Amino acid sequence: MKFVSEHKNSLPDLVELKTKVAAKEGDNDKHEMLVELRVHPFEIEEKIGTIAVEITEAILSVEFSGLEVVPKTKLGQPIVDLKVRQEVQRERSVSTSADHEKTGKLGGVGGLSTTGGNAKVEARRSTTTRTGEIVTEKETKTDASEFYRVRAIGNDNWRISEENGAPLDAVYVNHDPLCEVTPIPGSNRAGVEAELVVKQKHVKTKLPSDCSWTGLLRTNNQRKIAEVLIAKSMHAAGSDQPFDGKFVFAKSQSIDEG
Amino acid sequence: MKDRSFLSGILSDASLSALEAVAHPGAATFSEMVTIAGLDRTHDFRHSDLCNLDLSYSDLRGFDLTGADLRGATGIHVKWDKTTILAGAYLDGSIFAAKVRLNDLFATDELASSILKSVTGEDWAGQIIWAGENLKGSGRYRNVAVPITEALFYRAKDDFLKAELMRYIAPRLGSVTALREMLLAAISDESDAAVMVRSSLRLFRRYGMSGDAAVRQIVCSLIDSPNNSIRTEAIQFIMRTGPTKAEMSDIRGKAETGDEQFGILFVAETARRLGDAYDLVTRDPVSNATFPLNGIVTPRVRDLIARRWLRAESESEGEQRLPLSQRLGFKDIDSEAIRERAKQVNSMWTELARYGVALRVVRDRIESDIT
Repeated sequence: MKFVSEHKNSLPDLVELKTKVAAKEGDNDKHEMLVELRVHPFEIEEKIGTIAVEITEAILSVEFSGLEVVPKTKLGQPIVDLKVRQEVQRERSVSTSADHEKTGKLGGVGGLSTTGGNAKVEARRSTTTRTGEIVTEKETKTDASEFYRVRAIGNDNWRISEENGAPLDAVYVNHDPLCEVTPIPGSNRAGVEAELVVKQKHVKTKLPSDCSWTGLLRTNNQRKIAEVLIAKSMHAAGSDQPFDGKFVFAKSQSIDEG
Repeated sequence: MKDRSFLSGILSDASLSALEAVAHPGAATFSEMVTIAGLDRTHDFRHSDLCNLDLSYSDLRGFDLTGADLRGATGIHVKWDKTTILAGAYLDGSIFAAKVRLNDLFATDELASSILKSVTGEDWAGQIIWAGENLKGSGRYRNVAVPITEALFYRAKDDFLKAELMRYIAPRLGSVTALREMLLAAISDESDAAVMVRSSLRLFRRYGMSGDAAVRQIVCSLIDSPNNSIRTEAIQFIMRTGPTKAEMSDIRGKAETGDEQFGILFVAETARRLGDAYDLVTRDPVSNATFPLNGIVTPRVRDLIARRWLRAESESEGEQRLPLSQRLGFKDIDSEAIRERAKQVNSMWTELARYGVALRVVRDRIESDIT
């Protein structure tokens, strides 16, 4: 099979997507869908000044023709364990005391630590009772989960996002395999078509403040309507289809030409 | 070679004109601004970010808001119906959330739907009795009583019935979020009903929601109410619960251009925030009425206030718990003490000006001994 790629990046300053289907290195019977995807904040120079644009979430949507994804090969596919390991530490100390005071304390600590791409949830409980002796019990439970910047979400889509909704500004897939593919016997056409789709609510724009009237867009209502106007203009710059609240910023296909 | 090094010129002249028109909207509502901007309500707002919008007096009929982020969107007198498409929209903390949640429930729960239909046919007394019996732990339909009572609440036209049903469900909704969304919907629907507004604001305070951004936004919308009672409730709610600078500036601006009652209320609430003594120095010493905003005072009035303050401090028996402005006092005050206290009144008036209450001091025509 010989795949030929074609890319259409309407706003390459913002989004660049390239795909390629190639034989797997060291195994010519298997094919991989390789993807290069970069997303960056950018600026649009306009008569009124510079408009800053950022994307906070995008969907990489892939359509396979005559090919199917090899199971267990999708990039960014979190698998949950069938069993959950729970570590509980118990601590008990006893000492004598002359007083008969009773105190009870029940506390919970819930937090999300995202350092290093891992999320941890900790729960602690402690109880202290003093009735002539001191007894302390501690329970510690630790669950860990990981954040995927590129995450497979079903229907052959991948969600591209940063933690805490930060703007996308990186190479998210660097000519790496998105998945392995295998031909469907009997198909008369084989190929992949990928699109980077962004909902307008995930495109954040900032108007220049040095224009004579943009500073008047003060209220939240004005700013939201201005964002929709700019989004619609951006869509028109890269597409001749009617605007429906979504952008297809980039398209790339890799088709088998025999 | 690249076609262009920098992205530029994607905004057409029409788009630039539309943006400029949005920058000068006058007093346009959200839906009016959409028209001014030349946007298409049937397509352009799908998947849009519309969180925390103020939708007051907007007509959202025919808007396709599929997938839009409407979290925290509030407003009064908002027109929306089945033609307002909210499929997949984020509605948390918006005026839509409670009703959409109920609609979804009744669309899937046939029993709840048929009971609602049956109870809606009852008169108001029957509805209250049904709610009272079934909201109990032993009620026959206790499992669906809360959503049915909530639906009855939205459908009720009678203020008394509404207030009763609200009293029943508020503590039973099971979450502060659900209660907040119910109250936001209630105020949005019934922004002209003083009883409902008062009850809702009381519940916001009781359940610690006065700092919530959506709550504050919808209460701020009520400040423009032509109903003086509702306007008073709204101003007191905002000014007594940690107002932001923007909120204070907004209220101050409206007090400046509003009627005299609005100005008096602003002065009273500002003085209240600053303390009991400020309340005293913003009242007419003869009538005890609060001065209007930018009211005129004379040195004689100032001295009378100083004397009144000194007398109030002397507090006759039984007056200790009263505010200064309600005490009579009894002690004779000497002129020197009044002069000293008058200086303090002056400096307090100066301080009040920093909070937007600028009383104008003009000279008396005739000076007289006021001791």
